[in-house]
Amino acid sequence: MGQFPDGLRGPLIVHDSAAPFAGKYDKELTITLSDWYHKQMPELLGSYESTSNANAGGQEPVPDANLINDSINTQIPVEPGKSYLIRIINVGNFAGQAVYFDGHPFTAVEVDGVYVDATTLAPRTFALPPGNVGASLSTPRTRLARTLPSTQRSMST
Amino acid sequence: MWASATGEYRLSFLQLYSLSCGICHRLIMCAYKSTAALPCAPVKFLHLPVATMLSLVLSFLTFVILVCAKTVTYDWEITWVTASPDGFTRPVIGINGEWPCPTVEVDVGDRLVVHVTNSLGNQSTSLHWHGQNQRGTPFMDGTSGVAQCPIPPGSHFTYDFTVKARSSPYTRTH
Repeated sequence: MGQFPDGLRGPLIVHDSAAPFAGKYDKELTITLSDWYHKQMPELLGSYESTSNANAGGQEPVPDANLINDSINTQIPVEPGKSYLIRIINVGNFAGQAVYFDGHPFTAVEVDGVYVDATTLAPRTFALPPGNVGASLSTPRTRLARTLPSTQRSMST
Repeated sequence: MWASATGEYRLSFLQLYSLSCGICHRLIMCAYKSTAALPCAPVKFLHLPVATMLSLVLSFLTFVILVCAKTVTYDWEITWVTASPDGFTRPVIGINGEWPCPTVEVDVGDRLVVHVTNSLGNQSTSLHWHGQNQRGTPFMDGTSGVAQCPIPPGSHFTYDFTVKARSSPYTRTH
């Protein structure tokens, strides 16, 4: 039925006091990433599963927008010098997302529910297919820092 | 004790039992201390009277049990709402008349209880807890047509399972 691309989705945050990074940060943030369609799913599913689409190669419907925290104008205030545990969840339908925090260091500590050795990622990106979640520790650098995530959307075909 | 989405505080039976044990023992200790002086010295363990030690142990256990493994309850009505996250207005599926859908916050080992009412009117639904292994509770996985019957319009379903350590999206099953 595909109701989650129509909006029925959200974050389930599980706090684990036994996590290896527990207590090593000042604050927590949750960032959801998703693709977004203007048409509703029954119509999109109908055209996707049609014979004409199958004959044309079975192309998935292309999203119309990319949302961060369910908006295109998201602003997340942070304080320089404070460390943040940032949970990044791809709640989208189709598009994988590659995330980086422009100008700020960030370190992956959990990938899809599995705790990993802290790995500094910048300037590489944190790649998240739909349904996946990662967590990273980040300490914003400068007083003027106002950029948080930039995401690049990728769609595999 | 944590508030549900509708503001209810819930304690499990074990927490209530432990709380009452702790309170009873404090009352007993107060009554003991108020009695007349005993003719002989009190029995001691680790340089403390046994009754005091027992009281301390029971109070500690009460505290530990109260802060661990709580039940978190949400009451959700799934409805159509209108939203325009990118400037284009369209109908979306929200919860309790709001979109974006709420964040669920729990601790590892908590019992998550979600009472779901399907008020969509034109679609059946379910809620899938992506990343939760549902060990022992596969019927709470929200995979309609596979592990549960879909929730028809106007009907209710209660999800009730123990949460494992993984933050993830909850979604309608795909």
